[in-house]
Amino acid sequence: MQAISLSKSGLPLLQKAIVLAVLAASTSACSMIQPVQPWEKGVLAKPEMIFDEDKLDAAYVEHTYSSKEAAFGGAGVGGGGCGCN
Amino acid sequence: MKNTPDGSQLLNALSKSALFLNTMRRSGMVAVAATSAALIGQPVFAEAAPEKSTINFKTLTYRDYQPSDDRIDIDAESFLIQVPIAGQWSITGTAVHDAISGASPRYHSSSLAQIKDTRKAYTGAVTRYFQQGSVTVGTAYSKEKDYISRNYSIQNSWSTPSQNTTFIVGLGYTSDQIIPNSIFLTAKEDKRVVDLALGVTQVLSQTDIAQVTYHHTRGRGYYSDQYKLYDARPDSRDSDSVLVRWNHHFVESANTLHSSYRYYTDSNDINAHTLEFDYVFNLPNQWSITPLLRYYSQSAASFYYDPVANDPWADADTFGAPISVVYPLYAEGRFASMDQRLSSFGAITYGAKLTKHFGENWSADVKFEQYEQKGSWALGNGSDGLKDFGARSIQFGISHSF
Amino acid sequence: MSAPTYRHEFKAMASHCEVVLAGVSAEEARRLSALAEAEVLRIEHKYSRYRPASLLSVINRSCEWERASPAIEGVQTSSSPAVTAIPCDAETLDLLDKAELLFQHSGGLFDITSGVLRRAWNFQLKQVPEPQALQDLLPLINWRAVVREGNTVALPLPGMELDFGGFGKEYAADRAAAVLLEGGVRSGYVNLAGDIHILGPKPDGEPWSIGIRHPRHADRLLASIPISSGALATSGDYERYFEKDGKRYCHILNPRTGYPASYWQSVSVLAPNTLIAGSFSTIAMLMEEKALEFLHTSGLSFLAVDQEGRIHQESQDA
Repeated sequence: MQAISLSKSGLPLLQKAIVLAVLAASTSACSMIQPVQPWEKGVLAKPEMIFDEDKLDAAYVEHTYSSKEAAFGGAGVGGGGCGCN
Repeated sequence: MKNTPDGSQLLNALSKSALFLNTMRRSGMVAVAATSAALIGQPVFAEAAPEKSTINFKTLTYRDYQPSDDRIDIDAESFLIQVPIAGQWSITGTAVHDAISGASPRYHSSSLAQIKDTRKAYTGAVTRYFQQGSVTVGTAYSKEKDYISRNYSIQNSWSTPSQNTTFIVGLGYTSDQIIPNSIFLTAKEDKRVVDLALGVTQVLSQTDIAQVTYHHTRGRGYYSDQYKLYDARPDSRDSDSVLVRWNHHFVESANTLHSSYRYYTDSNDINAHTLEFDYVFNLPNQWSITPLLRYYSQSAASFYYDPVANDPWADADTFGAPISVVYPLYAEGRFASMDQRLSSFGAITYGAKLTKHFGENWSADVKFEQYEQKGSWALGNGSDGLKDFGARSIQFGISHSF
Repeated sequence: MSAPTYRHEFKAMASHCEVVLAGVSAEEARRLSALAEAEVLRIEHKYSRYRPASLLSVINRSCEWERASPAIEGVQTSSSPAVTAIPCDAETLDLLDKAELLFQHSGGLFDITSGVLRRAWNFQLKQVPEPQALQDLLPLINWRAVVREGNTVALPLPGMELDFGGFGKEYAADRAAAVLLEGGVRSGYVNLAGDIHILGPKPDGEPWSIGIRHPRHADRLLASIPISSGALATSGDYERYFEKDGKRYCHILNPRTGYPASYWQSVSVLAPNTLIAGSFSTIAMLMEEKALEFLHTSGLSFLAVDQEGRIHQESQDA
């Protein structure tokens, strides 16, 4: 009898490091980005450029995946749980 | 008054100064702008109060199955309304009703009895918009006959003066009640989860926007499954995830690529990777089609036991749930679960969404998704004893703004 | 058999616009006209004074009364205007340079600070403003007073405004044409509500036949001009106007008097690009009886209709 789990040594530290690295990369990259002026944001205002534009679709998808998979969340807080996870 | 100006002087001067057109042409400066006339008049701030009210109705038909026997059907209807108030506020409400029916899965339940349940879920949120940001206070309530969940959240977003960088901080609290409904649970249990989300949205260019969100949850309480035999899980679960999303618009074709990656890890030792792409093809006459592809992989929880690999009676099908695996552990008071959701597997989703807009204020969509799960598709060692598992869903939606 | 012609119509700058292309594949035509539309919308987003987020609106907010300590009602406070110099990109600086040339060589009749007159002239209400209302606005019209230092621009008086309405649409037509020419188009034209930039003749070498509408009959053509290159623009007293007591008041306003131009029904000019054609036709409207001399000295082809409906034209062999 054995547990089918991967080795777990030192993972939490590694995870924190990944989180910090991603956040750091995202902020330091800002200085290299050419700032976009307000009048140049026509494309960015298009519905398909907005994250989670279809909220009901996003909610269905989140709900059905969380009944089949362990991972969840990511985009923000709120919404509430259900007995499926 | 002077003499009449000489037209030839102006013509000469302007002809000489027509340089800018040429320099732009030479440098191949790419012209980028809104390609949709519908955008005209819309302020392009990071977050502004919606100008119109929106109502949105969707139905979902969902079925998941193992090849041998169909498992669960869900029929759901959902409704969303968002109303702006006085230019600086908006109120959003959603209601979802699910009807769940079907046989509960083999190994994963005390019996193969038909289950039938309904779930009603409601959310409400109020947002106040400011010059450089917004604050949203929200609540959610969901009820099934064996589960009640209440959530409260507050989220604050603010932008830099250029509106190119937006920060998001969200704090949530969820309090759940698990109501006894099986022979394994005798008293009411509860579960409390606190979660924190930190996000940065960055405009990268006129056609690129990216978002990084870190999400931490800290949960305490009853995490076991009251319907599963000898299912005993730790009474705490902490998780961390990082979600990176990137939207890119192709000006020439007017199409848009959405990409996202999520890393998830939790105190049950599950690590998961999710990679997803979809591509919005804009077609003539306000049609668009969006194919999507998603890959997911997770490792197993430390207390997951594979029902077949560890079963002395390998051909367990004939015996029902292979309790011989976990019973000894359970009896010793150790954590154990055979829930497929805690196993190691990989999954692929493919599908497409077809959307049609009717003028500016109406749209309808239909979305089809096919989901396949296999132990062998996991990035590391997949769990051996899993049966291939799949699901199919179809959504119909209609949306109106006014 | 003639090669197919593709027409792409869209709305921008509150007008009807079209791109007509020939000599390219349907796929290329679709791709390139989308690019041309995008370029027009880019310019609209950047320079529309009706868009609070436009660069022009940023410049128009460059001078505001300082928020002084709470004013006592009815008492003049000693607040002073605060001026912020707005840095501009090369494209904007170039357009400001063009505005300078147009001002200089029109004797000040083409003044991009004259848009403030629209606060007095409301073409929906159809009311002739009080002379005093116009007198109060005239001090705000002064291109000479606009402060340009290095790559920055600032307005010296609160309430002053820049308005690219006099050449913005024309510039957009030229830019859209530049995008199409860069994309390899050699046949077709861009038409932004009558401001037309010809990319090149029809695939068989024949010129396009461009109609000029009759200034008094919207559904009739005054003339049809064959053009294979260059640009055509028309200014007229029929685009936005109202009539009161038998007199017609149009939207082409004289920056010195504050009153509309009234000598010509319309002036059409043929020029190397739309910006030149459009600014010449506007200046000619404002010059009133001196327009013919101005147009004649330019050497450009033109067609002007006076208030009696008589046609004055000169055509040069380009």
